[in-house]
Amino acid sequence: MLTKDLVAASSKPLVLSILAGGESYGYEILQKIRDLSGGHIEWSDGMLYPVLHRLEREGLIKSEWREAESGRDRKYYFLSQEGTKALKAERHQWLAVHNTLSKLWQLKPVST
Amino acid sequence: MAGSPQHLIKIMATQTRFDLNAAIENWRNELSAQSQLTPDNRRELEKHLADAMAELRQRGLNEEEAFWLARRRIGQPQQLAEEFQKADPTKVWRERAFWMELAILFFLLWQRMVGSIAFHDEWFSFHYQSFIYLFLISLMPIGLAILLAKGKLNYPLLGRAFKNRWLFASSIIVILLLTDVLQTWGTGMSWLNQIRSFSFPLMLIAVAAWLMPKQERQKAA
Repeated sequence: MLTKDLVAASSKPLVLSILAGGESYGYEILQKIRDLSGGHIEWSDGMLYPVLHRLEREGLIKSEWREAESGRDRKYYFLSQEGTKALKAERHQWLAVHNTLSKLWQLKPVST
Repeated sequence: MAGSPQHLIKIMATQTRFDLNAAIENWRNELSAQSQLTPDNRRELEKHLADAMAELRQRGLNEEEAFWLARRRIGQPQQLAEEFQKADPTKVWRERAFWMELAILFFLLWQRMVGSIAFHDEWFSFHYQSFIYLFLISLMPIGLAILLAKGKLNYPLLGRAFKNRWLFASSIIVILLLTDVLQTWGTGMSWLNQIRSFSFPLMLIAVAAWLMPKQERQKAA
């Protein structure tokens, strides 16, 4: 389980990265994070929405209410141009941390 | 046979039966009590609850279990509201301002319409005009109050009525023009006065359209 601080810090790159793979809605984003992290990153469901709304206010993502094929309407989020740029910067920073720790722990580094 | 064990069990079974609609309604009310949550926020959370419940049901949980687990995962309404507020502090006021603008706009339109009907000299004699005016003008707040009290006036309904801001703005401008035609029928009002009487409602329409929260749109092909 991640600490509260790390959950807060990692929410931005996680959400942006998921949306970089295509538009999505809150429930689906949570599921993806749960699956990909193998259950190690578990957000409380309601806490994702404030994160999404903050990113939207910052102009990194946009949203739109739309009806899904199932007939259920959902609020879809997608990446803006600025969001794509922000993701690049985030990626750079996180990989720097990752590579440093990897070297210290003598794991195989990941290329940037 | 009243009082037999079998009878008792039957009563207990019906009394404790879980009412999903009531439970959801209850949860909805708890969310509405949080003033920091906008109607749009609540709607998003409701859709989330529905998705979460559908998945839990698929995994074999019964209706009641699915509801409580999904609800618990979303979190405490009060705590939730605080987090939402932090994410976008001005959103609540933008949305509140929109509803206020809308109320003022509709009252203004209603007033113009009622005024043009009640003060029509050919339809009503002078003595009754002010009574008719007062009667008609009070219909709107009373009607609104009844609709609100009965819960008939809700966000999805209004959301469907105004699918997007351009449709919203143009339909209200049409109503405005109609009331104007009614009002100035044969009075020969000068164009300067026309513009003057138009400027305030037009400004309200523009501000309301600008503040309007996002609405659902049909999925593009």
